[in-house]
Amino acid sequence: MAREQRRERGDRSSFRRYFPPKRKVCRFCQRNVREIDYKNVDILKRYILERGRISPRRMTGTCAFHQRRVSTAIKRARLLALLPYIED
Amino acid sequence: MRQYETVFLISPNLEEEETTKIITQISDIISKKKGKLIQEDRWGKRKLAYPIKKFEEAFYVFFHYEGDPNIPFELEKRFKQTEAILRFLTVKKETRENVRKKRKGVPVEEEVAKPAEEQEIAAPDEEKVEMKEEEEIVTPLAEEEAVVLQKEEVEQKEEEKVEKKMEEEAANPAEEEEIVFPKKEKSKNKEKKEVAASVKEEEVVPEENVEEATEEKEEPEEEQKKGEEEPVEKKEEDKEDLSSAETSKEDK
Repeated sequence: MAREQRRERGDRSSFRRYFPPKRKVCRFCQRNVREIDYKNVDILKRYILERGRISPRRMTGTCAFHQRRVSTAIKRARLLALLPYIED
Repeated sequence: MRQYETVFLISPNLEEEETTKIITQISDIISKKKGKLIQEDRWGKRKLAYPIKKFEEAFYVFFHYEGDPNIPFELEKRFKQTEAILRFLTVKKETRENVRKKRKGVPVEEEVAKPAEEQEIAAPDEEKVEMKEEEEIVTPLAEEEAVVLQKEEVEQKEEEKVEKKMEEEAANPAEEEEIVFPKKEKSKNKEKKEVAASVKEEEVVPEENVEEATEEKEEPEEEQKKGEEEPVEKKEEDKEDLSSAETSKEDK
């Protein structure tokens, strides 16, 4: 993933330059969110991959604290059929 | 007293009266057990992400209530008995604020949650307000000072680095690639390509190389902002010496 991003960025300006990968920041920390609710599906949908898996921290950049909350929220939403277990 | 949130899905093939009946039954259970209903939410029929019992839709109902822990037990029993309920989930709601504190060593949770309210209600004195203000004033100043100090240090270090670099580069301009780290990785890949390019461009006068190289070293930050053309030229020129040596090796 990181490699792909770097390649894209390189293509934009010039393929010779090396760009250090951009530092990702936790979006929940930025907005000072403390609880992540399993009911707002729109937010949780951003944190699942197209197949329905929970997206890993290294991709989204969420901190450990909020990743735990996101994952539990997604699991609860799955139980209530708000989110899919598998999407095909 | 704890706060709970219970969700349950009612099957869509029931009529409205029956669904309302089930919902009222459940709210009755909560009220009988001396629970306090804080919020009731009905989303209505909503499409499921996957079929449950061959139903594609379901009727979502949310109860947010406060009470003893035997209420969710009782609800669970009832849910299991009634067939019309497809899924249910009860979640403990945490009333106390669990904001993550960035500073360590500060005792948090209960101090923040309860006493703050009591103080405000009981005695909104001026003293406490003043205290808070003082604290607020004091800490940022200290932080600012620290930040300023750090910045100064960083600047000094940077200056030293720049000076060192200048000296080194003045001594041997050809080795600039090895010092500057971002070019390293790509230069390895592109050496082969640029060998060919540089062979063609060997006619360029070597005096220009020295002058341009020195100019570019003085302003390393502007280099990055500038377009694509300059660094490319620079690299090619820098590598001419090396690449010519390599070509000779390859020839052998």
